[in-house]
Amino acid sequence: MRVPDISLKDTALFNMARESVRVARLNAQISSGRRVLSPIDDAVAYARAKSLRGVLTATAQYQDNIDRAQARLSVTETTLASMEDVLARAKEIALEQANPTYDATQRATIAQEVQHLLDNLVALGNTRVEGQHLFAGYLTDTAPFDAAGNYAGDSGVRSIEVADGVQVAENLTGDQVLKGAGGGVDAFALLTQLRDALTINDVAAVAATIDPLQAAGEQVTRSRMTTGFRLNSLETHRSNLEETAFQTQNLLSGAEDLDYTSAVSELVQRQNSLDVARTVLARILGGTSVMSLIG
Amino acid sequence: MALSPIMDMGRQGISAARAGLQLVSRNVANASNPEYSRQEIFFQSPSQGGVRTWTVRSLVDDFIETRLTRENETQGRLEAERRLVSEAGAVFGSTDTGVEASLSQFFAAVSSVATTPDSDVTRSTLLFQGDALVSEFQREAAALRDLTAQTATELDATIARVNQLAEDIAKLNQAIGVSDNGDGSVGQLRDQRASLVKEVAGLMDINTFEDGNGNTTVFVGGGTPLVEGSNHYTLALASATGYDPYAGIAVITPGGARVDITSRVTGGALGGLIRVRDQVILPAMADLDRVAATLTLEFNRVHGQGFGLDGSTGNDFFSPLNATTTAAGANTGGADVTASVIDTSLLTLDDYEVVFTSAGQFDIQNLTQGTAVSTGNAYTSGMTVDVDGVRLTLADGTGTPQAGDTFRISTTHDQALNIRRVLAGTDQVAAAQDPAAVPGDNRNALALSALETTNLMDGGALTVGEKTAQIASRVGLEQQSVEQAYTAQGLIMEGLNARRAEISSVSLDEEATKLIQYQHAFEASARMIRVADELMQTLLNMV
Repeated sequence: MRVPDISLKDTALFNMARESVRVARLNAQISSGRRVLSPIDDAVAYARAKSLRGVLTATAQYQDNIDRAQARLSVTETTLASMEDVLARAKEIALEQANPTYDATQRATIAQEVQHLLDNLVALGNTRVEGQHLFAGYLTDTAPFDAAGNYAGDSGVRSIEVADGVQVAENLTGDQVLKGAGGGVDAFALLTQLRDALTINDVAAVAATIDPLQAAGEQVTRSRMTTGFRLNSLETHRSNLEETAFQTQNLLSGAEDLDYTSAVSELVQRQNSLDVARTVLARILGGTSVMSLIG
Repeated sequence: MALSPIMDMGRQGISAARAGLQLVSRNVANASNPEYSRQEIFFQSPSQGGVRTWTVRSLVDDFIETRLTRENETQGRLEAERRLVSEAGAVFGSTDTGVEASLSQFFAAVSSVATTPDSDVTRSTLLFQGDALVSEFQREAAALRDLTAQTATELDATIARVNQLAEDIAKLNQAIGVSDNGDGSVGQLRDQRASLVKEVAGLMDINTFEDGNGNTTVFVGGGTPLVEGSNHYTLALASATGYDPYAGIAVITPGGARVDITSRVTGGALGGLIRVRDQVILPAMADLDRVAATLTLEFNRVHGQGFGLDGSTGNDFFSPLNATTTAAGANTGGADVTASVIDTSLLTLDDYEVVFTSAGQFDIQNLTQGTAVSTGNAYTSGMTVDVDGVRLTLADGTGTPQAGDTFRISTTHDQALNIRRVLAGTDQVAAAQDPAAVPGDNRNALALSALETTNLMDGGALTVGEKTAQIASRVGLEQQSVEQAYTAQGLIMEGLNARRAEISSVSLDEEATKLIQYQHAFEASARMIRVADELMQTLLNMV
């Protein structure tokens, strides 16, 4: 076989160029920690990584939605607990004052406490989180209750997205919790009734509020249970999302992350063969031929 | 035996050795010229003895040369494709950038508004992400458009190079015909011509043959001559005949006519540039336009149904779609078709075509569905026709329509470039379904958010995000397959070049050996003459 000088040089250069390209790509991969930097590295993994990152963005957004809903529902739950306390205290007063041992002066004084309870319930009904009223339905910029307990909100129930195509109801409206909308009792009316009965020392009217106040308390308790269920369900959705995010992150790593061990060993190997190719080329260009021996 | 033939043979030997030495020096001088084919000298001794004639031959393997020309077409095509397609691939960014990532973030902001519609922060974020999405659409669309412009420049430069090469090959044909006197000097001209032919092959696919007079004839585009003997023809950009304003390639015949050969140029750099432009970049642009148009239409539709904090409704979030008309490049008549959107709710996003079947009649086709909308409509200048929410106005412009004239009407064309966020401010973000239920009503925001997971594209098969991923992955797969083919082609070229070098390139070791050989032959022949001379002297002294 003839081996002309030009092909010695060409072969060495061709191999060197090929190794150089590979070494440059390995360097870029190792410094970024990613195997897939552009479609050329693995078009299928590239497209997959793009989609998985979309899933991660959506998952993070759902988690953020849940964070916000949980913050509001936690405040809702403690507020409802305080409302239960208010109504329990009112029932306690009604039970006590229905007893004939009290006189008109004592009842008038107690009426003032009931007024405080009424004010308290109005304040609790107007609870805000980040400036938004929790019990106003959609009208979150409006205080839902005035001093007399008249409802100014609406019955809007906001649903929030917790997963693709999954929405859960979040808020409780003040008219349901305290005004008995849809077949319940009006807690404000009861407190007003109790206060007025105490003021005019009408024992029978005081006694008449005991059972309805019990019902109002239960109405708030049911709301608190609903809130608890919603918080639990959000927690379940959060775990699901965390699982999804974890799995997605794993898939993403599988699709685009670099196997450092094999990349570094390949780099060392390629670097070596590049060095060898350079040495060989230097020899060839240095020139050993019969020409130099006959001179 | 007479002494003079000995002197004569010595003289012939010296001449032959000198010819050999001259050839060695020519070969050595071209040792590093990759186009050069090494030459060998063949001596013939006549029956009466001595060396009288010799011929010089270039060592060329025609089979390998033909293979090299053929493979050079593929190599040239792959080099051009690789360069262009990798630039197209870079447009879509890494795995965490691009329109797809912006779409995810945009819809995350929509979901955030749905969760907290009464917050100015979530509403501002939505507007910000809307702007970011719009600029990402524009960036990708503009980058792809720039690539098509760059392709046009490269086509132009490549055609100029082909024309130069054709001229040079024609000149060499002439020179070779004139100077072939068999001493080997023509061999270098042939090498040069073969090298030019190979370069042309790298630029476009060609067919060549050598005629009886030693002329190389070059055909392009499946049978149109580029070089014939000492004549050559010129290539030029052909004007676009379809709706895309991108040029093809034409041969200018001696009569001055342009023959469009675009569809028959499939190899070399020209073939590669045209293929990537027409089959990778233009489809990606059209798909990106369609994603932007679908998002615009659907998001605006749902957004317009809702109410802002200020009670306003019917507001567009993105700039509304426009209808654009493009006349085919091959149209011969002077009529104009213009179009405008009159009812967004009827829009289909399909492309339509007005086809004049005669000066007085036209058909309307749905290009996307491949169906006829109406046929045999009578044409009068200034008339209007409504098609799926688009009003077409057909009128005489610089002249009347001619049979065969066509116009394309599109509501998606260039939408990825033209898309803007037009919603005035946070108060107009239509999160509410009921104007009385603001600010907490999030029902319309939920409807907007649901668009992310609705299959709006490709006849209900893909979401806008999935379609965007498909655009990037199609270009990516193209890039990967071109890269693999390019690497494989590199090995083929390397192998062929090595085989060509094995036969045709100069080995200095061989030449050194020949140098010594011819030097000794020269000395021996000189010695022969001296010996004959001494013998002659001896004979004369005897007298």
